[in-house]
Amino acid sequence: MKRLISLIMLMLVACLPFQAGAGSSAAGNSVLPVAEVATFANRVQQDLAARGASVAIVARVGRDPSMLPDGIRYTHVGFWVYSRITRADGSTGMGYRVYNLYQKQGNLTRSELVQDSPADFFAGAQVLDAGVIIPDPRLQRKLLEVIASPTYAALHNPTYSVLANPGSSQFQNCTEHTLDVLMAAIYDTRDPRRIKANIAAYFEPQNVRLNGLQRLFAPAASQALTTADHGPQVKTATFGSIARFMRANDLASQVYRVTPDRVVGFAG
Amino acid sequence: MQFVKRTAGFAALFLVGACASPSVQHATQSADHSAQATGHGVSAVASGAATVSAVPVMAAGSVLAVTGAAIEEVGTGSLNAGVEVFEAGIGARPPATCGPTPRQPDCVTPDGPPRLN
Repeated sequence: MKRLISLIMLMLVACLPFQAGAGSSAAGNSVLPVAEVATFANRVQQDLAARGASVAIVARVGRDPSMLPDGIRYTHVGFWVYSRITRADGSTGMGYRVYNLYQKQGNLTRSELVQDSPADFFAGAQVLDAGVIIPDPRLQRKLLEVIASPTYAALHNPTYSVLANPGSSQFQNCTEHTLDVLMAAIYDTRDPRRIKANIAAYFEPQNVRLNGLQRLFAPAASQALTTADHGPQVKTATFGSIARFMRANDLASQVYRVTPDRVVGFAG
Repeated sequence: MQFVKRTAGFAALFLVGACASPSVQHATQSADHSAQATGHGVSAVASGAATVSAVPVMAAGSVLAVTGAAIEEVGTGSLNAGVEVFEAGIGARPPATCGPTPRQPDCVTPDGPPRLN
């Protein structure tokens, strides 16, 4: 019975990709009020600035947390980089720009690198909850060198999978690209083979418990759900697994969560 | 029940989209976000003009200031022509890692545990 329900759900998934990409689907209706999003985005960047962070890894919740698989709290991760910003009207200011890997609108099996604002970053949030990693200042300098160099784009693989295996270059998602850039900075390399070898050796990805039926039918719904780059177990990079990796290796100065009314430690 | 939840969770990652851009999730509402945010006293920039350049600044270790154009409104970033979009790819072939046996000729040996010098 359980398997039948699972099968029906996955068949339903097959009908929905175009709705999801249209932006006017149910997801669009559940987006939080604009003023709250803008206020929260500014709260996060003010918090980062007060801590003197030039580069941070920030995550958002793009889905009701109760619907996410065990061990996954955040659905999107990007680098926030303190910058001198100039606008088309000539106005200038200091603040954060966000370096994202986003799924392409209209083709969710492909991705692109997009720079946007903190407010745009949280525009897709279903819950105002930010996961934040402030790297060690020495690592921030190294990250900035990579982000500002051609290596950042060279490490992008536009072939997208929701559950990309971070130990393989076959597919990539936003969290894996973040991890690749992080490893490039740590090891002073732009060689994807060295990066992947070090990920395989020292990074423990998040285990995602899926059975054979789920893995079999999911790619029929969309190739973005493929797990072809995995072995018997499906493991992917997440904000939590990156946080654990950085904590374990003394690479992070601070790891915490920001909500509209408080700042708390990240326990994941 | 746990099985069904996991299945729903897997689907959920895709339906709303892990790594989804605001243009996917938010496109229908973005056009008037600047005005709304400004009206609520959130934005310090009334024009809603797109960012044309952003130069990273390395200033870690002291309190930084967020001022002017960086006090952002919602909806003028990735939805405007000023956005930076890169397209580059690396090979789709997984790298060979050096297992004990048999040793693959093009394998890469890990450097060692991550350390900051």
